[in-house]
Amino acid sequence: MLRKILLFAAPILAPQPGVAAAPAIAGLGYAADTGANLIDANTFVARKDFVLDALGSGRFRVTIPGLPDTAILRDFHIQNDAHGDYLFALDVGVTLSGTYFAPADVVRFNGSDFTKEFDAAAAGVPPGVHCDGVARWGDTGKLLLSFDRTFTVAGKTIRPADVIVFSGGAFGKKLLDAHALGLPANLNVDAVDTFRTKDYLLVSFDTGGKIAGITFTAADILQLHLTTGAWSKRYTMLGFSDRWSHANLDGLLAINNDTIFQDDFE
Amino acid sequence: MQPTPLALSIFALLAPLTAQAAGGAFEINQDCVATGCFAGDTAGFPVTITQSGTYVLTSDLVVNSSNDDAIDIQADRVDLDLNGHTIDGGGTCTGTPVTACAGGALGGTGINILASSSDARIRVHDGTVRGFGNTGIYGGNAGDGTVLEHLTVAENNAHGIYFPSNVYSSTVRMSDSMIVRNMPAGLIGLPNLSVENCVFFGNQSTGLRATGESTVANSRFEHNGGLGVWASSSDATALDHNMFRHNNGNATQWDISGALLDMGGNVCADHACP
Repeated sequence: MLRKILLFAAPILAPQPGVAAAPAIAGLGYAADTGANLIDANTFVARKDFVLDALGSGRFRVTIPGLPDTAILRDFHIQNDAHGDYLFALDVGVTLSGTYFAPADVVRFNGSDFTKEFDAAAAGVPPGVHCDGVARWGDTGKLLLSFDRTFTVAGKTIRPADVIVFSGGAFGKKLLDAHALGLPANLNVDAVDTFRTKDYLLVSFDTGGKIAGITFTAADILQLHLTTGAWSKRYTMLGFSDRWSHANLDGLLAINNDTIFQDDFE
Repeated sequence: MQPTPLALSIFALLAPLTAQAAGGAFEINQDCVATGCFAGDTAGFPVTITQSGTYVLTSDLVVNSSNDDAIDIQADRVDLDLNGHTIDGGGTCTGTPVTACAGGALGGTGINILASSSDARIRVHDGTVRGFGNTGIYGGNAGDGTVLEHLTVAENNAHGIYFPSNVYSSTVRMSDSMIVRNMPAGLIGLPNLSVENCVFFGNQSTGLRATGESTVANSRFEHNGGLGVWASSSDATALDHNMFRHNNGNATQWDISGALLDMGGNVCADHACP
């Protein structure tokens, strides 16, 4: 489905000033914590759904089958491999295909089965912590996670605005180290993606705030250049739909142009 | 396998059979009303709740049709969290006490409790219900133990809140709420009521009419056109630390037909308490 949308992606919305060096983005996926008409004025997207947006060439609602109506999609990712599996986290515990998934787990859906991509309890995540950020580092790289509360595991303190690698059964490097970067302690990353690069993070926070002189809302998408630590605002979602004035973006996926050529023309 | 639209549509039919939710709330908002907010709810008003669970408003609801309810509760054990939002019937009332109401959803009720068993424990909380041509909250089949709290119920045309007598609702608790400028009465409760920390202000006639064995505590009755409290049955009514001011044209502030259990601390500002 994602590949089909990207093939139709032609016009690309102009990025915000100051991000010229970053790869262009050809497709966005996003989810909100409030059900709303995000596709157009009449097309409803529930909190458990996400939108694939070809940025000028159409928007599509995607419903992950089997999720209860009471669930909120906390973040999601689509694997860039032959299967295109979905990875996602939910705000509530849910039993799918006979397996219980806690709100801190990451679920993989391959089109028919639900399996546990990240087992929070096994990784030492304490009860009460929820996963609210899921991505891959680079095109098919290591799992990136973010959580909604501060906790410590194996001597490593993970904060709500951190984005951290999980690989080989253990937490690794922080791609976004909120404390080291001096981010306000009240900020919580609730959506993350790398748009299939190794050099950039896209994040959204669950509240508005100000970082490096950039004022943002809970619906805006910020970009962090991992090498320089430079922040910029990549997308203002209010420009996509007026519903973002009341909704918080809590799920994010981005596809860059380079990946399209790599996938479809090489 | 890449999940295709076709595959997704097929899975959508099969997968729900294997899903069990461990929590969470069903969402209600103005956008989803157009399509139906969840299973059992059809497009348009009223939003119909047919299964037990927790429901949360994520936007205000504005009812445009002249005869629709906003939300009908047809299930037992429902927690409806208005989440700080307003359910708006569009009408307005004039005068304090109210002399007339007009406009809006002329035949509609804000929240209509239509559950059908003695297990219909309904909790409605944290928001505003206003401007309906009928009743703001109608507890027709509310069950024993129903709770209303942290609400503002205002400018409704056929009582702010009305709990009729029936076999299910024998006790209802209301607390920390404002019942303001409704017509005619603020709250009519035929079951046994427990009213605490509420304000009844500017209603056209009676602020609170109770006919069961009720307790009214720490509440304020002000500028209602009729009595602040009218307990019209032979049942006993307990009054505990309430304030009465400018009700009933500054005449008698309350009328308890049955036994009055005066727990003390009741104050009538401009007329001797009965």
